[in-house]
Amino acid sequence: MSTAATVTEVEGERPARPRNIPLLLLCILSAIAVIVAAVNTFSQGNGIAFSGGAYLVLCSTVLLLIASLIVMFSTSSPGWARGILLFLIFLDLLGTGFAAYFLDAYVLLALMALGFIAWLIGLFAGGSRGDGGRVVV
Amino acid sequence: MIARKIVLASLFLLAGAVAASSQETKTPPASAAPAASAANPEAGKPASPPPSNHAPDPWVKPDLWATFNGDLMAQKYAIPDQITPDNVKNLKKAWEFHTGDVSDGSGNKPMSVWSATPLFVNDTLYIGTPFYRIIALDPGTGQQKWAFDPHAALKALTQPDLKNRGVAYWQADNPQKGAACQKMVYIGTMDAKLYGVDADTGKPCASFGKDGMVDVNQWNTVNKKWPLSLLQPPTVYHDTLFLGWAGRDWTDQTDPPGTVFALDARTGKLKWTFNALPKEVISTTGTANVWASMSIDPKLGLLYIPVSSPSPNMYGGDRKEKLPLATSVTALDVDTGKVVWSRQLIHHDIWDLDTNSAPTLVDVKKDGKTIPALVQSSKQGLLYVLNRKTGEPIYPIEERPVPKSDVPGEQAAATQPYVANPAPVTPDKWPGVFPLADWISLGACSREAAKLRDEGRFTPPSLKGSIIFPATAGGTEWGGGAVDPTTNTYVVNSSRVVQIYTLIPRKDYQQKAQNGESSGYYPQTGAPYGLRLETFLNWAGMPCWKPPYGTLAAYDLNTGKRLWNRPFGEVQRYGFYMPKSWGSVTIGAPVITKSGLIFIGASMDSRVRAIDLKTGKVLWRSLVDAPAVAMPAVYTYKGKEYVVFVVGGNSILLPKVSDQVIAYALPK
Repeated sequence: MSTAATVTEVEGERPARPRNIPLLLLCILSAIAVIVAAVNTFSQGNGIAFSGGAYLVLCSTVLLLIASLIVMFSTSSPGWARGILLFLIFLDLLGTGFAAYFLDAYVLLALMALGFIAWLIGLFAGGSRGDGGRVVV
Repeated sequence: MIARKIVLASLFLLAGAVAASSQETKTPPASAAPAASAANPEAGKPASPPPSNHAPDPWVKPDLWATFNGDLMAQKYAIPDQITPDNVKNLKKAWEFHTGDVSDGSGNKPMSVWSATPLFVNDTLYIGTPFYRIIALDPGTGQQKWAFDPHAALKALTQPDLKNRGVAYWQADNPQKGAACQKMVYIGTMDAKLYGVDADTGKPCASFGKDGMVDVNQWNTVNKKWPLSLLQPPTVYHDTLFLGWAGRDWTDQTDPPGTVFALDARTGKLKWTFNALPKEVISTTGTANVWASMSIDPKLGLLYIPVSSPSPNMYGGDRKEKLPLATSVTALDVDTGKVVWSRQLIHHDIWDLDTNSAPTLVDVKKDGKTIPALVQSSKQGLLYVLNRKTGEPIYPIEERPVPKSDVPGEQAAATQPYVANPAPVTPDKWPGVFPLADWISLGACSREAAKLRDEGRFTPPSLKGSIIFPATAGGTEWGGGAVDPTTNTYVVNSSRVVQIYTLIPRKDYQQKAQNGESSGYYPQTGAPYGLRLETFLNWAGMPCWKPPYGTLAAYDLNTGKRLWNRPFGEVQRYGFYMPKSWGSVTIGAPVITKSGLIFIGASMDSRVRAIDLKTGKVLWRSLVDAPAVAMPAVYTYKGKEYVVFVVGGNSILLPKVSDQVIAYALPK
């Protein structure tokens, strides 16, 4: 994981501005997923409205959004905490994706797939710290 | 859906579980055994076949959907052919209507169960609701024309839910213009009242009964424990309404004995009554009633009735007399109600395997001959193909030895009728423990199965509990099958439900909870045993038996050969859809169109489907508000073909209800 990488300040960059594109994307996708899950949960006539599965997925997408925002904006948290959060995000993406598949909620499934890609890019591109104004060296 | 199976398997493999596997349908070997003995009418001489001066009512046209089963022969065959296997993928919602008559049981009304067939006749779509209202709709737009409200008691008097399977329609052969009630619509209620209203205005017909209402309970004079619930609309032919009724199962030993009433369609006056049970036995039994729809051969003048099992349903020690009309298909003379022939499908029924659907009438071509036939589907999953003139089997019915009862006082029949060809819609043995359900229950499914009595089809109820398959929840339910009379392809949906019947000695019986419609403790008061009826589920509510849980199958009636048999629908639990190979328990019935399509709701997953008659493949599906546990109506109106479903739900499938009426058509 890139959390182990060392970082140095780069002069001229604006500090505290999130520029980690994959994490930003994950946050946006999570936010959209919350909206989609809410529509699925409360929109009568879609086959899964007000079901336990729909509520479960609504909760899991809210948690996904919260975790993504924490990872994105919490630049001072220790590496192990960020690592755990990233792992939990992975589990959330996977679990929500599975649930969406069995709910026939294919838009949500696609969002989880995209979220997973963003998560992977963030992981392997080494920008998972989300530390605006810094670059990994 | 292979992908879904792989995902599921992966999921459980990750957790160290054994992957799930589905079970192919097993069919018993074909039998060439000789035909069963002659039909066996009730005590007394059978009536002679009625004279052949009968003919269809002139107002019943093949392009209408004027009866519960589409037509009197219960073929469920629609001649419109605008929607075809090639263009059905373009089918769209044309209109939608909500009746407002729905209850999820959370208020002061019981849950609603709505299985009405919409009727298309008199340029109007007529709908009966579970609140016992009649609503007339414009068939092209779904706009309400009128509604009739009898202000019926909305109480669970006999059934646990408010149920309705629609309305019936009648019109005079030569209606007088300007005169009221030349065309009438009828609806029954759970408290045994039959209402007749003018089909054009919805106003009660004063000449029908008393101010438009006949109280059928006036004829409920023997073992009166509950009202004769009129949930199934009457069958209409030659100015006559043929009326059965529903009661309450498993509660008492003695119940009202089964009757069918023939009423004058104009006045409601009683023409004749058919009694299914001899007077000598009604101090110890009852029911053997006709709660499902009936069919009529208009040319033969025969009324075909599916007769249910006698009470108490799971113990027969106090009714050892032969009751030949119980659990039978019986042909009556429409004019007199006399038995012309009868064939018992279960001897000494102790499983509650009611004959539960109108037989489908069709002419079969066999050995170079055209034979007037009927096909009787059943809870026990057997398909009986009989000569509808005589009741003689067209495909052999053999008497097979079956297990003996070990319950003190009980004496199970030594043999039961069995049909090998056409192949049963359900296997002869229960499918065995489902490894996934067993793993989730930490082996509880296996342990429970090992404790129970299990000797295959017709294992009797026992004190230690017996695995019953097929059980009272199906095989094939009240919808029965459909047939394409041009090819004699017969299509039928079915369910595979494993239930456990445990008899409890009276001294040990304690009334405990009942869960939904078909599980819990039932007293069978008056009998030496109470009953515990369970569906074989694990703690998570998952079936302990291997899927599929429901199938749709097609048969060639000219040979008896099964053409295809596919898992049908999807199980839905907590919103999650299970693999398609698991299928779904089904309630409802198919309709076949001339263009080679099957339209059907019936599944747990709240979807309605169009299926290719030749292959069984799903060609189109649409999500609706709840399980569509009814048969659709198919008709052409102003040049456009419509397929209309009522969507009501059924507590046996899911606690999900609706009041939706939805019509589909091709876009312009």
